[in-house]
Amino acid sequence: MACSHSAPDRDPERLVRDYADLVLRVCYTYLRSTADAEDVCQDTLVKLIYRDEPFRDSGHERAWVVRVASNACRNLLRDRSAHREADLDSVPEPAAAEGPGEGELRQRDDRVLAAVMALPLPQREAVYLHYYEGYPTREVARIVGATDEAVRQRLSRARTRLRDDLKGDYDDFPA
Amino acid sequence: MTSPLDSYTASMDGLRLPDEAKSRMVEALREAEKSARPAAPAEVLTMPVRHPRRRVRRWARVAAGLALALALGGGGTVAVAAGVLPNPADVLSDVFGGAPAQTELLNEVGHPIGASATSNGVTVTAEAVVGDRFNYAVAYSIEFDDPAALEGLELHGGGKLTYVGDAFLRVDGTMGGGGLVRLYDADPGDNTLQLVQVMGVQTWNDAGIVGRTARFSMSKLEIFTDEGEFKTLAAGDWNLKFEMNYVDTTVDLPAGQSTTWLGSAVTIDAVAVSSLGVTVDYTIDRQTRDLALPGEVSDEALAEQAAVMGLPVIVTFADGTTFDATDTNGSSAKRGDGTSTVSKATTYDRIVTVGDIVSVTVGDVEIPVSAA
Repeated sequence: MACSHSAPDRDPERLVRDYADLVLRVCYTYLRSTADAEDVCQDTLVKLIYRDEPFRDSGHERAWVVRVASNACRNLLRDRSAHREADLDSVPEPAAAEGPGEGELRQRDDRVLAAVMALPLPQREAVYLHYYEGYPTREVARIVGATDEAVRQRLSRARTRLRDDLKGDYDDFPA
Repeated sequence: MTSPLDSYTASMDGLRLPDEAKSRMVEALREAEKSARPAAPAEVLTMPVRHPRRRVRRWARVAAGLALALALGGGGTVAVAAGVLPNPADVLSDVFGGAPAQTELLNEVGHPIGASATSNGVTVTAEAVVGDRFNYAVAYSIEFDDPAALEGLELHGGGKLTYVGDAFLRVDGTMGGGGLVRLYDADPGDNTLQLVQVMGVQTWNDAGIVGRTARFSMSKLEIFTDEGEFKTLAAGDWNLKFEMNYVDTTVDLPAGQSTTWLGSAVTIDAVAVSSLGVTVDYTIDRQTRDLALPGEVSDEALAEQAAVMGLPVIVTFADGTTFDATDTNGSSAKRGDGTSTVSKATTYDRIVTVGDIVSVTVGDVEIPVSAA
């Protein structure tokens, strides 16, 4: 019986500090809006507090938060769609609403962000998880419930589309 | 030239929730934390030493320990401890609801007989109970008539499932406590799950819980999946009752020693160990100020709390391993003379034979169990 038991730290302040902005970005990526971010974040972190199972490490916990938050966003997208069984790609996405942080984003007038946000959801989420969160493609595959090959293909298509959209602005876009 | 992906990440970096929203969220989460699992035995009903903590690994292993204890069971029957006076209301309840199932005691483990209830094709049976004066663990089997109900369950290590049902066990004559419910699938090949409830309770007259009637109720059995979804495994109405009949393995150790903690004088008032857990009572020459506002616990308040309740408690076992019971369920009370009385109680990460407990170290005072 080792003495090394370590109760997981589920202190709300720590959870909000570590994950509020992360969930906000997940929401923005999926919903193209941050209007629901606070609710999604709240629900996600409540589930984390209730979760009995320990995480292997902080990376495991972080991936769990990403997955739960993205599932919540998917559910929101489905709820807003008249075609509940439709593929997510064909689900009309909500119009962007004013939300926390969006004003600053608009001020940046960032064509790249706009181009990424114009990508279909599967490509958008792959770009976010791979290029922003830094997950390798196999981990992205696990989070979004796709194969590694499918994720690589989505990233490839996203890069092609972004290269076309941003032609002239950037010459060093990754192949 | 900046890479477009650098531009993308820079833009995303700028996306942050306002501080007011974060503060609002922290408050809301603290409220949610307080009301967590209202129907099930709350994990921490007494005052936690620090933030409420999940003792997952410890409790997970209780299930394995209980299974081991069951495997070791055998031998004669022992009578229920005498001298426990039932609450009159409980007696009336028994008259109207039928007598509780008798609990046959095999060595230290009680096996309730006939404590079973079936609803919607699912049968819940109280299989075993172990415990000490104020702690107990009850193991239930949950058998599904339709094995398909358990197909595709995502099991964690040791067959564990993330339980979010509403199973509740009340022991007559107890007034509060803390504990946890653990659900697992010991054998994925069969159509039965195992549920273990582990609780530490307080009683009005400190008479202990052996011999009292336990009443179990459950209306749903749910799990929380890794995908963040709630999944209902069974819904129905399960009610059963049985005697808390087991051998109380509590051993009271010598007390009255003096030590210090963070510069404050400490008197060890009582120390007890059992096959399930440890309790320590002490008086410290220090009191906390009421620094915490509702819903807010400052670092300063936590430090003050730790200066009163953080006295280290380490249990040492015969195999050389230790169990740290420092940060555990506890409560403190201020006395008029400027001191505080503190009571700590917790269960180990497994069920042990009392003979395998070597000592309890409180602060820098080591108290050998052999001295009892």
